[in-house]
Amino acid sequence: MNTQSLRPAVSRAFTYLWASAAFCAALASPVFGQGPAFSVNPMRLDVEAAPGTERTVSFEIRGGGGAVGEHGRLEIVATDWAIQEDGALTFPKAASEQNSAMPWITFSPSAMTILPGRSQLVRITVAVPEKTAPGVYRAGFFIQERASAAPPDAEARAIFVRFRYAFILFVVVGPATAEPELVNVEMDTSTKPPQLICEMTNTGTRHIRPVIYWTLRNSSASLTQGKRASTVLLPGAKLREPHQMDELKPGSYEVTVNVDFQDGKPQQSMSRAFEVKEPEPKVSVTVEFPEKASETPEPSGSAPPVSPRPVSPPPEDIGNPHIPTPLPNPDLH
Amino acid sequence: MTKQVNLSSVRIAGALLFALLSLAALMVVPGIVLAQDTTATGTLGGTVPTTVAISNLSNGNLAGALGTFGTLTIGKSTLITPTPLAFRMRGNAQYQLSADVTAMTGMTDGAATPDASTAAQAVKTGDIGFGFTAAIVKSGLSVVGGGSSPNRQDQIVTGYDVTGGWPATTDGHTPAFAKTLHDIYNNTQILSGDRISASGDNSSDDNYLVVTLGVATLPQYLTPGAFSGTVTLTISSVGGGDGGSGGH
Repeated sequence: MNTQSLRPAVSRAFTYLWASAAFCAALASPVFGQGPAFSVNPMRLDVEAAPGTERTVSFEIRGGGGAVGEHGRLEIVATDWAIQEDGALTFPKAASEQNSAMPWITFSPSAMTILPGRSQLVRITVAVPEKTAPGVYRAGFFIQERASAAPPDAEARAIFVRFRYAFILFVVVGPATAEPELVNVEMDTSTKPPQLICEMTNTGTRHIRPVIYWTLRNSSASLTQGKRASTVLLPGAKLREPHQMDELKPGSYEVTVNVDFQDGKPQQSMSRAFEVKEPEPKVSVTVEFPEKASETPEPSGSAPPVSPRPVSPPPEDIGNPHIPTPLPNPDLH
Repeated sequence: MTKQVNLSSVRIAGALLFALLSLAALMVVPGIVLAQDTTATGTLGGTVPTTVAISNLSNGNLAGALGTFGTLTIGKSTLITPTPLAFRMRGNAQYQLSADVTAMTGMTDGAATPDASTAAQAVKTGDIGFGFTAAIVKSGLSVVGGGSSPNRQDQIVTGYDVTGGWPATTDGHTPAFAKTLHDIYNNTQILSGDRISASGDNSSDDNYLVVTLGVATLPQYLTPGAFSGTVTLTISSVGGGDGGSGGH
């Protein structure tokens, strides 16, 4: 027996021991194999910057346990974003919006390989030009798996799905202040269930995140109350976001809305009376055809009768198309 | 020779001892960390970031098919409704879910084929209905406003709620879908809501919504050919909740 013959045995012993150590360490670590393929933290940032200055912020992309396609390659794609009057978020082309911060932004990296349990920072540098007017400027980034280089296979005869995260950036150039106002309250009872619509405006230069508190009463007592976070109210914007309520029985009601604009000022309040009508009875129409007509065979080659078909609304009509006529001017409390 | 063997044995024993000690140290370190004396003064801090997440029903990567049509055998007003796709959503702030259809092959964007037309017609995005085919599941005990009697309201944009069923097909032409893939040809919000998760992480089994999306189409005498496309779901958090702030 000599040292030469013992070396492989020692080597094996170390291998086994370190494999055991790695196994124990893995058990002590967070469990991989659970969670989305990747996550983004945070998904939204507000950054304040003065004209002529530069700020750098970052967000983290963390690999989960799931498989990411194309060998774990992710790409970060710049976009603009906007909010429609009904509160819907849209993603116009990068640097296409009037208040886009994208022309001032550089970011890195624009692509990366993500591994389970590992995280990577995406750094965003915002260089605000001199003499930029106070206000809120916006930018966004899609974080998505790199699309396959191969063209989609039509023979699959399927509609595939993929997902992506949108990171939202607010660049606030000061001094900026919000001037929010609760303008009107409506209850749209034409939809089932009814929808509460709070019309709010912001004539200031800073965005604000209102919280809506509502109380519903009928003629005798308070029925329910609740709280909803509104979407962000951008400067110079009007918001008429519908908030779905519970089903209501026919009758007379009053809704009182208090909006906390979270600006340190008193809540703004408004009440509205509304009716939920009895559902209209279904009208059945009986069409009687002369017996002779049903007995007469249809001549061959004639065109089949065309039945009327409702027309789908236009694609851009994603909001609530059934908003009733606004009620008279509200009484501000 | 004997002395050499003894020396080697000593070295091997030493090496094994070192390795065993290393292993023991590895196993003990977490215990040491967890057992830090509470009398020491330290700095405690951190940030809970605004985040939302989307995953499949196994908490893994959401990928695959929203609906597989296979060969569309033409029948008599029989709508084809592939098995819809259910997925989980979590988050600690208000969320928005939007959708757009891309990467189409064998299919063009456009409104549904008309009922009466003497021109030959091919399948279009307007011929494929799209929407939420099942009520959103909010029963998780760590869902804000959820549980056995949930009172949270997640706002499905008008037209995308087909939990009551797809429209009836009466005349062998594309039925009156409230929304189709044509409506999401440009990125369009389809769902929004308040904060979902009260606590927990991406492995918790009680802090998510289950959302179900599906597609449907009616096989017709359209121009023969296979078709496919991809619906991209975008999740974001622009509104209320615990927003982040920072920079340097």
